[in-house]
This record gives sequence, structure tokens and C-alpha cells, in this order.
Amino acid sequence: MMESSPTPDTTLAEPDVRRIVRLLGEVIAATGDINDKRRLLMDGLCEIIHATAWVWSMSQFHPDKPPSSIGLIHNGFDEHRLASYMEAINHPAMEAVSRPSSLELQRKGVHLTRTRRQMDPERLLDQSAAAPLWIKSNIGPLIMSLRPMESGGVNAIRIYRTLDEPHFTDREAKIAHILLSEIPWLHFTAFPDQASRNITNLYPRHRTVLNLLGDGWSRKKIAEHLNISVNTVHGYVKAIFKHFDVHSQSELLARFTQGDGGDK
Amino acid sequence: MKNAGPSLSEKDVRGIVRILGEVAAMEPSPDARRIYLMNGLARMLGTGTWVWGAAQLLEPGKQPVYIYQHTGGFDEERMSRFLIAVEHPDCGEMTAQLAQALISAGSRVTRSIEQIVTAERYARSPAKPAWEAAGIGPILITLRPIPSYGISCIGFYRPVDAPMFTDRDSRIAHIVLNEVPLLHEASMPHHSSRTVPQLPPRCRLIINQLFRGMSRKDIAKHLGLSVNTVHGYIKLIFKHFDVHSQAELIARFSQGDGRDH
Repeated sequence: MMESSPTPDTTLAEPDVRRIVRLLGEVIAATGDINDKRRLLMDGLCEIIHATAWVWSMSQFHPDKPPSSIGLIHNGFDEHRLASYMEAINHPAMEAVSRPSSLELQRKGVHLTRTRRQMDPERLLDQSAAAPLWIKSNIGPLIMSLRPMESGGVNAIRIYRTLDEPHFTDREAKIAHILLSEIPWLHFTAFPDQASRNITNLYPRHRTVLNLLGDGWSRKKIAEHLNISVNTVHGYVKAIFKHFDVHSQSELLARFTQGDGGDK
Repeated sequence: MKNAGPSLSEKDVRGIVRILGEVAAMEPSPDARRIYLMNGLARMLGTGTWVWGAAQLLEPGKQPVYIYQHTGGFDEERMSRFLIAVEHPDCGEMTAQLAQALISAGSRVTRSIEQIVTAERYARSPAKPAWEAAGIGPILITLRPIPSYGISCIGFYRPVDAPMFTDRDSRIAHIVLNEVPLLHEASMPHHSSRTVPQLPPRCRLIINQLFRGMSRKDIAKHLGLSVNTVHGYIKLIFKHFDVHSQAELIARFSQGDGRDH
């Protein structure tokens, strides 16, 4: 299955399983959207494996381009560390450091989770020009989870310890690997199906109008093709706005193109 | 190995995490989540057949009225046979003891029946033929006391000739059922019948059939009774729960969302 399962017959001690299950139980019981749940789950995971910070981002990992990240969500950094961190990840020297992972990701096209030692066995990072920035941001051991997204691009979750802390043990890495690989929505911008579920709740006529609007059709053109009056189309569009709780067409379309159709 | 204690295989942990992760992504409907989780858990335990029921404890030592609100893998015929088996007085004797022991101990953890009732005791139980008639062999039951309510009961069932549930099965069930309170506690059916005497077993069975949407005619057919006799039992049930129609009865059991107490 996932690339991250090292050997099939390893075991996990019952207290660890209980901690994981209890955390997921809390996430299930929590209210809030995907970002609230992600935060709760990532904070809880960090607590279980004694990590102190995590970062979620949409990223680009192309072997021939500098790695880039947008839409960062994070916890555990103070402002000072965060600023150094942003500089560190965007340092030109990172291209060479992340190249092996980018190549592997490109070759395999599947979800990967890696510790720092697995990703960078030759300790390229320590020798790179970006090293001082990583030191300044007080980042030591890390676990990185990279998941290619259907929309293109890669979603990355990184879990960090500070410089003075030991490397993650096999047990800790395994717990992180299990959660990061078996809970795909940790990497998503919206819960799967939620946008489409909202759409299924619409009348078929409304769905049709929504799809045509999404395709860039004018209301007049929609009216002509569906053989209804423009006023009727206006009425449908109003109902669609209300359904998705938006107030303009651009807001509506943004909702779908940005992949967050399920945040209500 | 440094961990001498009990453990689960990574494959099982992944299975559990996958199911719980999916439940976390679902709409927050307690019923839908419970059914999804139970189906997923049952699959991991190598069976498709399970029940989730709840009962208010009325009188110490007496068999509580379990309402099987959610079930998986039963058709009507088999459900009827299951209800007959579960209402067998000897089952009451085996489970009531366990439930009472849990409540008195103020315990909030799950227990399986085999921790209280030995396999030998079960093997010579007069209720065994009734279970077999329902196509049920090995059973894994966990009970959990719910404060100020009573008890919730989750059972997994395998066919008559299937192998027994293993330690691994029971460990998975206990971990998930203990650590995810939602499974036992959300959406408890509401009913109060503190002042009324206990219902006869036949009535308990019929409540569950009504609750599953069976018609009186079908109930009569399944139980080999006349429709008039069924009418009589249903009247008793109405009186017991102080309701005046079937709709009111069903509403009484289905509208509790567990948050109001």
C-alpha cells in the first residue's frame, strides 16, 4: 500500500495504539471545519511523538526548480523562528538539498513520508549555504510527508523538533507515518466529497446552472440553451448563492476553483 | 523486543486509523458515524454482523430492556431470530450479572462477556440453540455503563461454524470502544420507565421489531402468533412507556441525542 510502511509485520504497543485512537476520537467529537480538525490532530500527533512544531503547505517539488510552498498553516513557532523558517525554506540552496526527494516523488508519484535522516542521508543540508538559517530557526530533526494532489502540485506536512533534541525514534516515526498515510484528508484543502455532497443537495436544474456558470457561460446563454427565461436563471442563481452562502458570482466560482467548497 | 506488553500489528493499527480518519471527515451525524464506524470495525473483526443497543437499568438484577438501535448484517428473518435468542432468560442471566457488576463498580470501561461468563458456561447455556437458530456462533460482546443512563451494549457475531474471536479481535474491539466514547454515548435512545414493572420478554422483542419498521402482520408471522395477540402485546408496551401511538413510541426511542443529560 503506502510507501511509508517499512516492514509489514511490525507491531505497536497497546498504550501507543490507545493514545492514537483516543486522539482520533477527540477529532471525531470536535466541531469545526477541516482546518480546525487538522490543527487538533497535528497538535495531538506532535504531543504523542514529542515534536514541537508542524507546518502544512501546498508545495511544488520539481527536480529542476527551487522547492516552493504556499498557503502555510503551522503551529509551534514564535514569530522570530517563523521568519527565519520562511527564509530557510525559500533559500536557493534548498534546491540541491530537496532534489533527491523531488526526484523520488516524481518517479513514484505516490505519497511519501520520510525522516530527515532518510531524506538527506549525506547531510547535504548541514553543508549547504541555507544551514545557518535552519539553525537560526532552531530546527533539528524532522519528519516530512509529501502527497501528490489530484489538482497537481504536492501537499507537504512537516513535523519538527528543535536543534538540541534527539532524532525521532523508529517508534515515533512509525506513529507519524501511520497517521500521515492513513488519513489522507490531513493533506487536503477540503474534506473529500463535502463540496460534491453540497452540490448533490441542489436541485438538478440548479446543478446544471452551476456547472454552466462554472464553465464561464453568461446567464443569457444559459437561459437560451435551457429554454427558460433570463429571470428564471436569475432566480436559480439566487438559490445557488443562498445554498453556498455566497453573495456574488465571483465568490461562488472562487469557492469551487479554490477547492474549499465544503467549508460551511 | 523491548515492549513485553500487549501490542497490535502495524496493519491493524493502520486499519483502525483509516476508519477513524474517515469518520472524522464525515458530517457530524452521530448515527451515521456510529454505523460507519461499526461496519468498519466489524470488517476488521472478520464479520459483517453486529448490533448496537442501549438500555436503561431499571431494577437491580433484572434484565434491562435493550433497544437495538443500529445493526449491521441482519435481514428481518435473522433479526427476529436474534431477538428471540437475546431475550432468552438465560442470556438475561448471563448479561444482567455483568451489567450490574459494571454499574456497581462505577466502571466506565468495556468488558466482554467472556471475561465474566466462561466459554463452558456459554456452551451449556440453554439459550445456545436459539443463537444457532439465528445462525450465530462465536460472540464478542462489550458493555459500557453510561452515567445517569444505564448501559450500552455492542455485539459482534460470527456464523455458527466460524472460528472463535481471538485475543487480537477482542483487543481491537476494546481499544476502539473504550477510547472513542462517541461510539457508546452519543445519541442514546431516550426512554424512561422507572415506575412501571418490567416488560415481559415477548414485549421487548416486539419493541425492537416495531423499531425496525416491521408491520404487526409481519411480526405475527415471524413469531407464529395471531395479529390480535401482537396487538395485545403492543398495548402493553404503550402502557409501559406511557405513550398512545406507535409514532409516539418510536419518537420516544429515536429522538434522544445523548446531549441532554
